Amino acid sequence: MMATIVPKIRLSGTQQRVVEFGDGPLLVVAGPGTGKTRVLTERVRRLLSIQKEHFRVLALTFTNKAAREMEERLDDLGELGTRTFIGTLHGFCLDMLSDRGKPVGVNSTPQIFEQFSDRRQVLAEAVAADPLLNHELMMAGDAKARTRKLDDWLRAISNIKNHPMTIPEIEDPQEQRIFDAYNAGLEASGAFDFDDLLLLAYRLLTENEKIAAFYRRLYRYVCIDEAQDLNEAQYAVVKALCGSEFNNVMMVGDPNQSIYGFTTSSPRYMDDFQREFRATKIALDENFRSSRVVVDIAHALEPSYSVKGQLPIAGTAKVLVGDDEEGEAKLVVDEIQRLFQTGHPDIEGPITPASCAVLGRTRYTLLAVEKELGSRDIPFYRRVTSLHENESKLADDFQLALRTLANPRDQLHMSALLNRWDFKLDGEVISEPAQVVALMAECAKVSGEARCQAIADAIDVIAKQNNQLKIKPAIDVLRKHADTLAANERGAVYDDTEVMLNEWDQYLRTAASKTRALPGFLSSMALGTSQQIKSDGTALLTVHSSKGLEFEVVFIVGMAEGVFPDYRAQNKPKEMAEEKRNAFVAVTRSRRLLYFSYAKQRMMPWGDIRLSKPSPFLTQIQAYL
Amino acid sequence: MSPQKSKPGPKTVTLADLAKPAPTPKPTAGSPKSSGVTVVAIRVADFRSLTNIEVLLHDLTVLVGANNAGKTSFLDAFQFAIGANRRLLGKEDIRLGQNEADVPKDRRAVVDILLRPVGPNGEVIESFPSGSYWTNLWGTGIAQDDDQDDMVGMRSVLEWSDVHGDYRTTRKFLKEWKPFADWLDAEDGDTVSAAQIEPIALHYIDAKRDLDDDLRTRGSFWRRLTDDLGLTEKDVEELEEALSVINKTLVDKSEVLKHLRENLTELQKVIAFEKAGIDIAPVPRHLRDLSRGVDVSLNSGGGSAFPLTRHGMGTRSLASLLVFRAFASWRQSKAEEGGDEVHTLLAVEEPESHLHPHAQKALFAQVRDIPGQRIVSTHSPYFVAQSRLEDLRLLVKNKSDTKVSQLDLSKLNADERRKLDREVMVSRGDLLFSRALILFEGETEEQALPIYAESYWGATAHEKGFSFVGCGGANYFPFVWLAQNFGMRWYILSDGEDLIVAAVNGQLNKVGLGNATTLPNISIIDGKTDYEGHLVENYMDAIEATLEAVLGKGEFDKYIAELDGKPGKKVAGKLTTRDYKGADGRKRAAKDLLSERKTRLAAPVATAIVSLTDPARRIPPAIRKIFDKIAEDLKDE
Repeated sequence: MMATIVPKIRLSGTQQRVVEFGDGPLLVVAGPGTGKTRVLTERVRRLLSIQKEHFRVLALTFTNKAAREMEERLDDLGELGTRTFIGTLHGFCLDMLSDRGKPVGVNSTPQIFEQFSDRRQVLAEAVAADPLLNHELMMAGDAKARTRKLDDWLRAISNIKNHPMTIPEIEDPQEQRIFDAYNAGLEASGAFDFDDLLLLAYRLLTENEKIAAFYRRLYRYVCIDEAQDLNEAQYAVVKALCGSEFNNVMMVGDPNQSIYGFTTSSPRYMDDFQREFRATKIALDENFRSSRVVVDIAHALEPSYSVKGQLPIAGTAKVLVGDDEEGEAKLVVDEIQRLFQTGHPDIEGPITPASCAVLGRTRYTLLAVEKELGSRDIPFYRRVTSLHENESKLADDFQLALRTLANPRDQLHMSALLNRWDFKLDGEVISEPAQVVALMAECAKVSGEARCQAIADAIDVIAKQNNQLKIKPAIDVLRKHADTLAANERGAVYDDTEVMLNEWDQYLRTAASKTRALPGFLSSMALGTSQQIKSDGTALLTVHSSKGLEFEVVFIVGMAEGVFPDYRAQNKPKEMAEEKRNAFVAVTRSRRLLYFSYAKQRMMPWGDIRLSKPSPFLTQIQAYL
Repeated sequence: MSPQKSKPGPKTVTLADLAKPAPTPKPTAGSPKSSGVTVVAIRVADFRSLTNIEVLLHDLTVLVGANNAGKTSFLDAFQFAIGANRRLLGKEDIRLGQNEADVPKDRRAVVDILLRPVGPNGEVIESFPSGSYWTNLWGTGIAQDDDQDDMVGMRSVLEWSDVHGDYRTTRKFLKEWKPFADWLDAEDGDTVSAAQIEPIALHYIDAKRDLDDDLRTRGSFWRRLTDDLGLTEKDVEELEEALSVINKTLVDKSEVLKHLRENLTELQKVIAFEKAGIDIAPVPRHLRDLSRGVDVSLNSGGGSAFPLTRHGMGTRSLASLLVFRAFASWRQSKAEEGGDEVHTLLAVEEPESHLHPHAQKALFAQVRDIPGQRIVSTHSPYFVAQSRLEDLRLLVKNKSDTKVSQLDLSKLNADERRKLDREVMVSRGDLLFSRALILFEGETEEQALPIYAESYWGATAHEKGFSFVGCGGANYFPFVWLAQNFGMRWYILSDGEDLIVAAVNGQLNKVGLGNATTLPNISIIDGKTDYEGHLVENYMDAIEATLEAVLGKGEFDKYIAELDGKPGKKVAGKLTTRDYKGADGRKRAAKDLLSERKTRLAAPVATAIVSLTDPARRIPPAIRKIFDKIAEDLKDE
């Protein structure tokens, strides 16, 4: 009966194999356009419809964007959806730790210091308190060199935390000292950093067999999407979750699309998984998304990528060469407008701004196009960073205040906030939210500043909600204050608070069954789960942020030597391979039409004019242009 | 029942049927299958009259205690937490302190419940098994305790909300289950959804139940069971067909109905509807309407069956309980068919209401056979007598604070346990409902104490809620142990002979208590004598007068004359000789006479004493000591 209402989606033979695969480990290698998300959805649906069995399915991925997409695709599972946990591995670890992190010292929803600057501050304070380390830091030289040293140390700490299996113990005593000092600093603020989430989750699962066993009973099947982006810590958590017996794990990924090398992720964990779990490997090698030319160019960039079945649509690929960056941008936008007007035989229906995307290797390469689009009133949106940065001081103040309210022990953000108001925290011990509220009220009174008063009032509103958190009343307070400001600043506050409301809205959706509470909301913002996707307008994206998206028409700008591939990758095979995968990802974002553009000469930031050559990638794919 | 053949007509049941144990629900459901989960504890703070209590639950838990001890508040708190039909609660459900004019705004009523996984035989196990319905239902709401065993804690809070300007309820999972001392500090987590409570929802049958009401009330167990009779479409069609045949036959045969129809047909002429037909249906046409009118007739043995409405409240109340049993087993088998689970949780308030003692005795088996977990509050000594000691929970109100106690049977050996069961529970189940337990040695006291008590308090011992228990041979242990463990007030009036005092001490030591002479709630008769000795020491005047009144003038002198120098009773195995000579000879004779004719004399002597003109002498000193102590202990109630 159902079949007449919802027609059964036709699946290809290999797709069907994945959907029908029973118990046991499974590795699915799925190139672009192979319909992997659909296959994943169908598989989850099939597993959940096993009658008379009670279990849930855990569907994990590594970016918030991917998690959101998976959630959207699984939306039509309806009631079955409540039996699936969809989220990022970080989010899953955060939940796990806040629910039952006691054995590893986590007592409630942990506060996360996600900003590099926060972590640097923690380390700087920890080092200053330790004469030995302080001396070591001073030896580094001037202020700039010392900052560099701190950053090196932070990276080393991160590296240790990211390798729970290969670096189980620190050998260098000084490194250990830095590591311990930093962690003690975090602990004093009642906070954890991003890497801790994985490390603590790993410890929780390996040291507490019964807790791990609980999760294995709860989630009979584990699906991991974008598996090429696993890093060691993440893979370690997955392995700890499985223990020695459990192996109903499906990993889906595409080694060719691994482009997060800077987070120490590597497609090798897909191989490790196949070997260690003795996983069955199924390759999805049909591309039903892209036109022939897109598939051909992808193949030219990555010869190992081959496609068995594909669409009978030719598509086109062209190169646009501008005299300079402005000229390049003009050509790109001209072409966009032309497509709006005439459409294209390979594309059904009209072409709208939302059908097009402009991709650049870096944010910088997109600036000229952004300006050009703006001047011609073509709607567009940027998504270059995963975290929103506030435009107004008031919103910054407010977020700092929220953090201290959520975690009164968080001296770091408390003193940061007081600094901004020209106050100092002199040794007062703060441990209760009521003290935070009182302190802010006091600051507002002493300073007589309307801005402080607005924050104090807004925090008071939040603190008084003894039950379900609501953010809107506090934002109304801020906006009321903004109404007294000059137009620019007022607009900034409205924009920032609008973003916060959006994030709040997203948080409510993802946390539907969860308790609404301040720490949860802040963690959600930190993990970026509350970032929204906009879909009206042309997308301006860096290659990294374009992952998982697809468009009818894709422009890849800045296809010049030294820009894409990045000049720093020259003569470095590993980095160069990563650049190539970047290009592969960029190209395969297109369903139909591809454009590459570059400028013959570029204005360097210091004013020089430099002639540029086309990217070597263009030479590689010349046959199809 | 007479072996008559069942004849067609309304199915009748007899009271005797009702008292029989329930038939095994259904072969498919199997014998009491475990639901896989059980509620092991409930904690309540600041709800109604309850300040802070914890009650541990078994499969069957029996709540006893005097009226107003907090039993109903407790069941209401449980209902508030996970009840199937939840009422809207408000300020009046938050505890109001003794000297408070109004409930403080920040006081919140909190009810925690703790669930644990159980194995096939109902024993608590470490974790929910793989593929368990409950794991999927509660997901990450399931927490691990310090031993990392699975547990599910749910906290319901009723508190004032400034935003809503009203009292609001929240329900959350608990991340931990703390020791009772600081349970309110436990950290909570995700919100518990209604769907996550439904399969364990508590069904609460209060004392006002009445099947006759159930038949008519939407949402009652009866209606929930009968609204869908579970017939196939074909069945329905056939039966409705038959109904219209019956209707037609009725109308055709009944002159009255025919007349009515003809007259009503006139309507057609007024309302100009083409082919408007008038039809009279003396019986409902649709099956769904018919099932609403389901009636139950009861044949109370021998006589003819008549509708339940005409039966007394006892029958109707019991029938209501039985309908729940049918509902529970039906719901369980339905859930199992669908691959789901339900944990039937039933709270019954005073199941014995309106039932005569004999039926109260039979009631226990009825309640025991309801599938699932049951919590019963009762005032019936018959019910208590059949309960297992470990299932009893005694609620005692001390000033305004309710305390709950249960027996720690692990400290008893098999023999002691048997004693407790045989000597206390089976025969004296009523003791659990008394405010004070007064224990003593002999029959004389048994007859006399109520008379003194009435004189002392101006009210009968029953009115005061006192129980008097004769423990011949200083057999105090089972009673004192029970009272002590249940936190009940107990008092002993003991004879003063050395042997007896030693025996009392021996009994008290078994309970873990010290010397009888040092305890304020024990009165030992002075002068190493017994109760009769105590009387002759103090009340020869009243005794002489009573003997004359009861036995006749000169009878006492005759007794002395006849028996002086004759063998008396054995003391420590040796024969004694009666010696009624000398200054105290008359007293010794009176003592012997009172002992030998207890039944005849005990009450009249007591009556004579309480009628003495000197108020100070109206209660014998040893008894006054006990009464004063009781009065002092109870003065705050």
